[in-house]
Amino acid sequence: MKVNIRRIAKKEEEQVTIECVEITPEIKDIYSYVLTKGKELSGVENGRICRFRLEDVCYFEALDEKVFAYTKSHVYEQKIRLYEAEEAYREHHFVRCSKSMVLNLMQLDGISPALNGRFFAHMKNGEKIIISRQYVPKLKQIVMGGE
Amino acid sequence: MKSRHFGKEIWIEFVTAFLICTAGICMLEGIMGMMFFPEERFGYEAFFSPPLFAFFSVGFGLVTRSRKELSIRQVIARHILHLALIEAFVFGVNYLSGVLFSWKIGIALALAIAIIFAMVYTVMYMNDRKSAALFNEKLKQYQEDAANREG
Repeated sequence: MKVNIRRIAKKEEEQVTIECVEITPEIKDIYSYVLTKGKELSGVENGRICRFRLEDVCYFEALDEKVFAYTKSHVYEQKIRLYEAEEAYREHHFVRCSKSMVLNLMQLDGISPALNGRFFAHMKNGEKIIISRQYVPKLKQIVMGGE
Repeated sequence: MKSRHFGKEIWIEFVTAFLICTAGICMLEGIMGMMFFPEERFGYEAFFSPPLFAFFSVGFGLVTRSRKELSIRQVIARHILHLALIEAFVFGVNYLSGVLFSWKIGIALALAIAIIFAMVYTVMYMNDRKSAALFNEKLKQYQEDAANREG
């Protein structure tokens, strides 16, 4: 298979085009790889550097000057600030839910009210985290639009 | 991100609590008046007492707010403080206006204030439950749309 790389000026116009006679499993693999490539992260777990998919992250949490990414069964230490994660992954449905957490809306199972205008976020990994009252309107705006 | 939506929500919350509280105080004054002071008569100025008490009672709710993230225990402690402030305010106003009543009436009043307090928070909680149910419905749609868009 021929592989061409053409340099372009604008980052936002970067793209991969696959030209094929038919969509074989190999082509599907390449397609999946390209799709996930930009969304793959690396983090430290038990002293080992591991790679994991951004979409598997339920939430990021800042604890003692460190940021951790929580997936269903793993916790990875990240070399990124929480606000950087919030900004970098906004397009991937990550949104701030408290001063110390950024959650993945795609991994959110639902919310329920807590005391004092706050809400519990029930994540798909079974964890329950707090949504602070000042972040509730923004969250509602993203999911519910103008309602 | 704190936004203007947060400010709007605070006002909606304040007005909702104020209206529920005013309604509760009207009922409380009516019931307690009929029970303990059936012969008393008031002028039109009496109509201002429920919204005034409601305004201050809801205003004392500022003690439940904090810039810091409060733990559940701290939230409960602040709600107890809120109720204590309302009780002290109502009894203080009665005392300063020269209204004297028996222990029996005092206990009934304190209980009635606590009931209205609980009623306001219950209605607000029910409202949050309703809004959470709507959010959850829209969340499923949001997730489906996003999954379809991103293949």
